[in-house]
Amino acid sequence: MKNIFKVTLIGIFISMCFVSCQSDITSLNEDPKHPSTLPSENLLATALFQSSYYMDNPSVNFNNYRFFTQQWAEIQYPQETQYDLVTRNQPRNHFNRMYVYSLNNIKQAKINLQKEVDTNNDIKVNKLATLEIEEIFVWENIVDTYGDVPYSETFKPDEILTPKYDDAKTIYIDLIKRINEVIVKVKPTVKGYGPGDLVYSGDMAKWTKFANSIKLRLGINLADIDPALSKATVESAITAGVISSDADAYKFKYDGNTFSNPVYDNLVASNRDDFVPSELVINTMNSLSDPRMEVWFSKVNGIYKGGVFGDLNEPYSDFSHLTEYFRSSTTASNLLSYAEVAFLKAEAAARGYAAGGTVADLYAEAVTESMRENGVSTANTITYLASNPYNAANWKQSIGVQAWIATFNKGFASWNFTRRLDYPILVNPPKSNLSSVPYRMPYSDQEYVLNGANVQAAANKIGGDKATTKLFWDVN
Amino acid sequence: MKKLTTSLLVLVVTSSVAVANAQQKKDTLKTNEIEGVVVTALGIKREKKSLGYASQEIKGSALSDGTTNTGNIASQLSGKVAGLNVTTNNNFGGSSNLLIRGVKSLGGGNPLIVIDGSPVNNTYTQEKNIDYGNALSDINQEDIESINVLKGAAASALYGERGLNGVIVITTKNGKGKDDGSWGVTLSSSVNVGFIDKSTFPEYQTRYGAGYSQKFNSQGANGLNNVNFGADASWGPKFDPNLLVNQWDYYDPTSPNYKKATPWVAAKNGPIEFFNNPTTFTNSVTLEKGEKGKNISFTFDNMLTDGLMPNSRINKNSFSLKVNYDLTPKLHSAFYSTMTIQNTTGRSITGYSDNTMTGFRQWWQTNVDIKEQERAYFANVNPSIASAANNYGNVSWNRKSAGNGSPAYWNNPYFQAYQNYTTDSRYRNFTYAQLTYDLLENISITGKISYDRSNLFAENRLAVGSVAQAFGLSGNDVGSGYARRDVTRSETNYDVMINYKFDITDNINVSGVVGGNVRRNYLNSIFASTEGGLVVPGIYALSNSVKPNLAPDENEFTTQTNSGYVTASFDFFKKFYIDGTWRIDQSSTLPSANNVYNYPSITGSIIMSEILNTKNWMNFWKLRANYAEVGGTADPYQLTNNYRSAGILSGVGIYGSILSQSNPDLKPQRSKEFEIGTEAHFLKDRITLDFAYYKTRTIDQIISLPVSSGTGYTSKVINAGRMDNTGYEVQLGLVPIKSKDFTWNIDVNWSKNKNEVVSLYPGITNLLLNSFTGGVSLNARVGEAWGTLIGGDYEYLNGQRVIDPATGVYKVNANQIIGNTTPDWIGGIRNSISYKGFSLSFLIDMRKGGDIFSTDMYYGMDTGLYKESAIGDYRDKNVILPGVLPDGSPNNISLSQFATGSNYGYETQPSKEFVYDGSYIKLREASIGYTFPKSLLAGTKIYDLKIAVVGRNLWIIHKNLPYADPEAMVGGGINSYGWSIGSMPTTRDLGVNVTFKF
Repeated sequence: MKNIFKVTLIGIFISMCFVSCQSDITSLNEDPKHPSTLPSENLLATALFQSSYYMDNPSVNFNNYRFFTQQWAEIQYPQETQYDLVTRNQPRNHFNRMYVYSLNNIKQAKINLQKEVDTNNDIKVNKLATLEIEEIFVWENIVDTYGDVPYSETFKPDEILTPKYDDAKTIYIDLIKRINEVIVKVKPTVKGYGPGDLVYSGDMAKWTKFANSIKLRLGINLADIDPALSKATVESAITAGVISSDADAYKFKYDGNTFSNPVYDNLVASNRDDFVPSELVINTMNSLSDPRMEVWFSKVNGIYKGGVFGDLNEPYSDFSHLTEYFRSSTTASNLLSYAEVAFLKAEAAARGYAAGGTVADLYAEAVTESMRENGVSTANTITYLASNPYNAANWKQSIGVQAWIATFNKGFASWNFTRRLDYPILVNPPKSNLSSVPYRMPYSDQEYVLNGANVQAAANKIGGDKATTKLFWDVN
Repeated sequence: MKKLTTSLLVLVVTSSVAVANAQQKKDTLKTNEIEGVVVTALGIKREKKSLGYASQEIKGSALSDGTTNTGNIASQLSGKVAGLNVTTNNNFGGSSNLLIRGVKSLGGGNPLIVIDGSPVNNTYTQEKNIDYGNALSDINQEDIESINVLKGAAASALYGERGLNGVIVITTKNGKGKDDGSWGVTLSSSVNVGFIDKSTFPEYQTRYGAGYSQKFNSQGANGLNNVNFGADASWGPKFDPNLLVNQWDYYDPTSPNYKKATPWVAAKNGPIEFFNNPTTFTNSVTLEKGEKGKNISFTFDNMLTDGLMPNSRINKNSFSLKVNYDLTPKLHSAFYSTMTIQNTTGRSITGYSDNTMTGFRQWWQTNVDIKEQERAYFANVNPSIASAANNYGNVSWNRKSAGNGSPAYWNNPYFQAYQNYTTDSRYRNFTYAQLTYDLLENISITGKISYDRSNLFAENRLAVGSVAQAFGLSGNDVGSGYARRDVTRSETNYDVMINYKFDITDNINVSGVVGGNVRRNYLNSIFASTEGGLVVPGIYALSNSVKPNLAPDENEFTTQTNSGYVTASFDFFKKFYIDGTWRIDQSSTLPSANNVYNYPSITGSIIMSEILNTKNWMNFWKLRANYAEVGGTADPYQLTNNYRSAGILSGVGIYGSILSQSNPDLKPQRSKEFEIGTEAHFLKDRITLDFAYYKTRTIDQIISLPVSSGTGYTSKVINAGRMDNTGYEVQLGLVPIKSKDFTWNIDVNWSKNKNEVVSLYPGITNLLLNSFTGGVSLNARVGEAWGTLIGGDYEYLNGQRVIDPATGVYKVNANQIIGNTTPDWIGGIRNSISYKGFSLSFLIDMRKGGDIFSTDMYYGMDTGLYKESAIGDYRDKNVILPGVLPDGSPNNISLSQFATGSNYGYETQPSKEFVYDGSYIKLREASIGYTFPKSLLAGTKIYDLKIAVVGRNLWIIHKNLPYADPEAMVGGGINSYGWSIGSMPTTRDLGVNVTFKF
């Protein structure tokens, strides 16, 4: 009996362990070192960093905009100028940076913002508007990079694991609608976010101009496919007020410590010599005696020499290099500049829209701003404009070439111009992996594995998931 | 909770009632025969014949006697146990990966290691691209009495979820002094030296030198050609001893060739001269005394290794103490503590980036003489001349250009070895203390605490003057830096067990355990680095940072599992056995609604040889069968998102994005296994055969399921997936000759495991496990075995490879299945012969199948390093690649080799071309030993003296992977499958061991 008692006692002891240990056992699973929710301001800052860095990144592994516009050439490893978009998974990488690293943080910020308290409800309204405008900006990049993309069924990981691809024009129209809705909500007398707004520091007037400038970009792209909608969108954006000075431009600032300008990271920090300006850029600017060359490129044996696009260009020392102008770690990523907006207004005027000026004047304003932006003197600017005035006989070439030069190193903005205006003429290199220059990025390879039915349906709808398939608005 | 308590109480009460009944009878504890007793789960000793599941025992001597001391007992199990797949890579101090019965969890999984009944940590540590080894290497092989490998779920059900992948039970030796009761002293000493097996290192072509195309791109001031310094490839101009060119040493004032052009020839000393012969000295002392119930054993072991790469060494010291003492005739105590201190310098960098070996195998110039690089490093690093002008000693063959001496991509290999080296010290202590009280003759109670703790302190250095590389917390490219990591891990187990044993009738008895366990695991780590480079060269301190340091990355977790278990083993007439176990776990890493799970097992065996009358020719025959389930829990912090800081930008905290959506409703995962087997001994054990067949199914796996990025995440933590493993294991032992003086034993192990990923999640057919440089990935794909390699393949038309008419090179079909890393079968054959005092043995270790993608060949054939790329006049004329055009006609597109570079490798052929069958046959171990006869030793204090000449990895009899060892993968765990990149060459190790016993 005594032994049964002893054994039973021990049995009770064991089970007591369970009872006492139960209460603290699940609490062990809370990470003491890492937060599970963040303030919306930090999520905004994170999203702004990710979207800016990766929209501007010249690395061969992400967007290849500078090669789609043939402005940069490669040295020893020419695969990307030969339009190899498979080996390095550029479509997948850019897709992920936009959806997962940028948009998902905005979405989460919007949710977290609801639970935050602000002294003034108008500030909260502005904050929500900031998030909305930034979100629209990232969507614009995605649609104009890929075409039809997942939009309406996205960001619902508990319900929809395989979002369908929405028609690009429908997305465009929705984005324009969202811009129209958000700009009336903004309270311009009050600030939005504080230091977490690493672009405009809470200045809502600038956010509004920026939103209108996105609308201008979207509207102009529609010009060849829906002239009526295009005209209405563009005119209402310009009337409401678009970016009208460098101070209004969308510039993401880096501090050069942990976070540096992506061009700096790829030209300087990597300690590699992979990129030089292309022959096309050098020849085009040479023929115009363009004073910006002196700012951007170094001379070799007294002349500018560009790399052959799509080929090996060795040794590096034989070619013009990108100067110190591009090599600062603290230079901001200027993703929507005043110069670009001015060129868009000039183009609007050329198309017969009410753009607030004549084509020639707006053209001059745009070129002047680009010159000023690059530190060219007023005198040289005037000389340049005198030798290269607006040419109404071929407005697409006139505006197209100048816009392409002005958006050198602003890859995405530049690509919109070349696709829409078809100048300068881009020649598919002999060793190209594609049958023409790219008009879009193919879909992420992972989508075929993880969302196969939907991406395949989208591929069929757009006429083939190839880089050579044109976007819905790129009809000419 | 209440239900749990009640049911547990019921169990305890019923068993105690049974005990009470049993007490009426007089106990007749049968003495176990010492032979045939093996140690199973929880340290319980069982007669092997009563076990209803597959297990295999290796004696300590079989583990270590026939081979050189590798410093890692995991590697020494290779080829010795059917169903145990051991892969040992060549990383210095690196991991060995153990896998029993195939991959059962989608993330891969390693068996549990248990010492004297207590689990020990065997995690492998891989931080960034350095393999810190697996913790099993801390266990001193001198302490090991035997290892028993429990292969299936039934064997390991008592260990709960961590037994899912099998259990390796290590039993330590008890002290045994001399017969006269005095102290026994054992001294052993060994020296091993390694010699490179040339079949595991590139054989370079010697006809063409630096460049991507066959022209010299620039000329020097002297009018002569400059070598294409910046091109880290050998598809350059043809060698010509009459041609004088300006090479990298033209610019080095310390070189005899300073400002002198030299003949354009292949280097006399290629990269193989970079390596030293690895040398290992091992010395150990054991002091022991005692007898059963009162014994003590103390061991000290020191191992000093100088590695293959310059500036690499390991100094390992371990101490262990084992005490068994009967405090009273009924109260037994046992204590074991082992402590290992290991200091390592110069661990190898693995993977693609900044790995000198990757340079030798993929990106090299055949005109570069490695001994000249050595001379240049030592001359230039001299403090009197080291400065920014000569990159502080980093005078590289890979200058950016004639005018720019900064290295383009690769440091001088000696600079890399002597300046950019890692150091780490690891302190490991495993201790347990146990008290057993014999309550009655047939009931005993044991209380035990075990504690396993390790501290790792590791430092990485990047010296000023180096090529910029990703370094430190931010992972930004920098030219210099310092990083340090401190990791503390511990596991504590509290166990209470009641062992019972009683007779139900004279011929039927039951025994077992009722017990409870609380296990706590703890991890605390901190990683800190400089940012932006070092201010002052040569000072490796966090304060010496150019830019403000990021906040150190801290990680901490504590997990706890509470468990209770019951076992009962019935013995009927010593002919028929049935075992049952039942275990219940509660885990802290699952949500409280789902955190309790339980699982049973049942095994049975019949000793047919007792029932039939076959003793004269078949002295033993057993049939066995079992079924078991095992539950499994999640890693910590899977239930909520956890944001990690990425730094501060203009005063604002930036965070890393959450890539994997957490799941607050996770459930435990579960595995079910069924096994049948038979064991038969013939002709008085002259022939022994063991055969097992098993089928395992794992469901509800906790995995990070990849999802469309349109959801905002790249993956989602989920219970999903079913993976099935089916296989056979065969062990065959033969004793062809057995006489008084001469015995010949043959042991054969063979196993085949067929794995299938049956399902993942509706709509998802692929889980990405790992990505390899070169466009290939390792995946779990539905319908295939785990370990599917996906990459680019050729396009085929009627079996012919299709050429792309636009380029003249092969068309690539992306996203194809190009291989699978799961082997077809593995096996080993061991022959041991002993004649009087001499013993001879050798082990042949084999694997069939298991594909490997070689990034080394993928790039190295394009850069023209290997002799296959320069056969005949291949490079001197245009080439038409064999294949057909899309219309089916033979290819007629002529490609120039001279102007545009190579037509081999990644620019021409898809990744599939570089997937190789990983089969191998290796002479793994061989030894010749002599044990001095006692007669010779009479009169000396020595009572046992043994000398052996041993060898390891002496001969790769067969392999398909060119220029590399098919076992040399990147690291342990998930990094041990399917990828050959930048591996070190394998050495043939020879050694001499001497053991004295006083």
